[in-house]
Order: sequence, then structure tokens, then C-alpha cells
Amino acid sequence: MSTHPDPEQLSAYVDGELTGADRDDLEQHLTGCSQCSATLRALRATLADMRALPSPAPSEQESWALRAAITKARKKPAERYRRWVIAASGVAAVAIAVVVISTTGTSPKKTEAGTANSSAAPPVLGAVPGLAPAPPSIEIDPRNYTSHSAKDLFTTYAHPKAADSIPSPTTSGGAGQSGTAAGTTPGERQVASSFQQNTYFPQIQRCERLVLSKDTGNARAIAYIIGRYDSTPAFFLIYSLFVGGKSKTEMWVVQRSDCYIRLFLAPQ
Amino acid sequence: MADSEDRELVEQFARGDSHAFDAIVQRYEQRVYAIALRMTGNIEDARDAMQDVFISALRALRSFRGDAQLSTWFHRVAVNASLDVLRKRKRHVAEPIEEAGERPSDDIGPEDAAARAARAAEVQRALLHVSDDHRAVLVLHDLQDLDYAQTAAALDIPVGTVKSRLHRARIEMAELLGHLRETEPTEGPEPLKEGR
Repeated sequence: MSTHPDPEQLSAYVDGELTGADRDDLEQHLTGCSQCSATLRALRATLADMRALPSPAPSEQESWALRAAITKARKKPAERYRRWVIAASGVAAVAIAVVVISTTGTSPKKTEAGTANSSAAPPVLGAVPGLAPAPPSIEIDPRNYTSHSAKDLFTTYAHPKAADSIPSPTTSGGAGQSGTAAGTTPGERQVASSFQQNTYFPQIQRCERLVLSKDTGNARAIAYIIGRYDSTPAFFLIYSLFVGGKSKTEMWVVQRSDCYIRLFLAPQ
Repeated sequence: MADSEDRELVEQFARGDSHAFDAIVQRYEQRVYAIALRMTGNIEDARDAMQDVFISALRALRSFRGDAQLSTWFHRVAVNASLDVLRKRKRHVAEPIEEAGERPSDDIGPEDAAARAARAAEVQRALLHVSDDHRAVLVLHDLQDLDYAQTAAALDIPVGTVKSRLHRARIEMAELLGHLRETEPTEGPEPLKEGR
């Protein structure tokens, strides 16, 4: 048996990078060396395993989130980012509210804002009994916006027991199909102003149309939180989705001319 | 052809054409995501790394030198951003992604599809067990099909270093995946077991 070749030559041979006399010498060696032949087989099997890995591609939601992040970065360079501040409960103009989306109301109903409830109408804002009261304030720094900070927001604002009482929307109309909150009474409901509805709901519904697909049949809104970014109001939407046999929770941010989604883990 | 198109897009972007950047995102999004996902083994980390890459590109490409290849830049930054995300999370060995695998079809039955998905998960788990340097050459050369020179340029290391790292990384993977288990006793890592 000839002297073992440089081990890297085996990899180069597998890659088709070995030529001429080097290749001939190695092939000659392999005919009489069971150890190098075994290594060669192992290298080939390993490469076959790796090349059988599916080629991952970003999902539609991830692509959308990327483009939204780019849009945001174009508008406001990172060094000029300011902190998101979720409105404190004492700030009247941006009081915390919760939206419940229901599919049960098929007949037109009147919201307190006087808007007819149809598939084109905005959801009704209302308070859900059992929701944890809002803390004084929560700050989220978009430069360090992680699933953990979003999860903190979720656990603070969306009490699981309250979420359980919220009915799910149908897929046909998406979550944009609105109704009154099951389990709430008119007296408990805190309706957003018509200005807020007019300002945000087209964007919210656009987001829902884009994000909620046919595969998210059991999507349900857990909470819509009215907050602000500096002096500009914004909506923070928390959705529970059931996709591919698993449930997950997503958080969206909707601004006047922008909406994007931030996904985060929230075991159901 | 691709290089000249890249160069043209970068020049257009540097002149203020925002649509050129959209085209760059379109061209590199999938590749950057694939690198990030295989480097981190985790969808959330891959998403964060991908966003970091393109936000960095917004700044960097305005002064991008014409003699460098855009693809090389994206490969390098994708690897570095992935490692940065892992460092920030202090989670070098993450819970790996669940491999989607192939859907059962006329050609592939449900059992075969499940077996392939399980094997893919095992391979991803092994990838997360090798060192960052080894994983980077495996991802770029063996998964992204870059050649030795392109891999060397992306990682800013000599071609000879790529060759030696690649071989050692493959041997390590072979041991982890059990391909060297019965044929050649080694002092390498234990083969991965299900659920490890």
C-alpha cells in the first residue's frame, strides 16, 4: 500500500477539484487502501446528507417583515430611533383599549360610533372583562426589539383567561370582519373615537388581508392596544394564529401609513 | 452578467434610486435567509440576521467599492450577522428548526417524507455542533455551492484554509452523522442520537 495521501485530497477528489497526476495517484491508492476508501465513502455520504437539506426560503410574512423593516430604516436612521412608548393608562387621548373580533354577528349591528357592522366595516373596539389592567408604561426600544420584549408586552396586556373568552373570526372575511365582543356588554365597552377608527382601521384591515391567509383559519384577535410612538398614535395588535396544526402568537404594529408584523413566541 | 447587473443596481442606488435597493433585496433575500437559517438553525434568529444584513446594506452600499463583488459582500455579512445574533442570544446550540421536508406525493409516501424530514433535522443538528468556522465553510461551499475561491473571498481567508477547514468540517459531520462510526474508529465527537 502506498503512503496515505494528504487527507484534504480526499475532499478535493469528492469536489472534482483533483486533476491529472494527483487524481490518478489517489485513485491508484484507493484501490489498495480500505481506510481511505472508507473515509471517501463517509465524505460522500455526508455531502449527500447535506445536499438533501431543503433549500429554505423566507415565508411571505418574513419577506413582508423584512421590507417593512427596510422601509422603517429608510425613514428613520438607527441613530435617530426614539423609543416606542405604550400609552399609560392615565393618558386620556391614547387610552388602552382592546378589540374583540367576532364572527358570530352576521346580521348588521350598529357600533357605538354608528358604523354599520358588515364585512367592510371596521371592528368594534371594546374592553374584555378579565384583562389585566395596563401598567403605568412599557417602553420598547426598536433597536433592541426582541421576541422577549414582545412577549413581555403580550403577557402584560393579554391575559390568557381573557383571550380564551374571545371567539375566533372566520377565514372568509379574515379578522377584518368585525362584530361586537362576545361576553361584553355595551356598558363595559370602550369605543374608540371615530377619528381613531377612520385613521387606523383601513391599515389594520389591509394588514389582515395581507397577513391572514386561508391557512390561518383559527386566527383570532387577542388584543388591540392603542399606543403611541412619540406623539404619533399607533396600534399594537396581538393575534393568535393556528397554522399547520400549531398555534402561535404574533404582534403587529400599525401606524398611519405603515404596518408591519413582528412575530414572537407565545406558547398557547 | 449577474455581476454587471449587481454593479448597475448598486450605482443606481448610490445615485438615490430606491427601487434599485428593492431589486437588490429581491436578488439576495433568499440566499441571505438560507445562509442565516443554516448558520443559526433557528427561524427567529435567521429572520433577525436577515434584517440586520439588509439594514446594514442600506448604509454600506452607498459607498460600495466597484471592484468588490456584491455577492461576496452579502455572503460575508450574512455569515457575520448570523454569528452576531447567536452571540447576542448566547445560544450557540439552539433548538434546531423543524425541517419542513417534502410533502407526501405520488413519488414520496408519507413515511419516506417523514424519514427525510427527520434526517434533515439530524443534519441541521449536526451543523450546529461544529464550530462557527467549520459551519461557515460548510454552509457556503457545500450548501450554497460557492467554489473554493468564492468561499475564501466571502470569509476573507486563504483558499488553502478553506480546503483544510472544509475537510475537517466534513469529517466532523461524518462522525456526528455516524458515517465513520463503523468504518473507522476516531476520537471525534459521539454520533448524534435522536433528541440530543
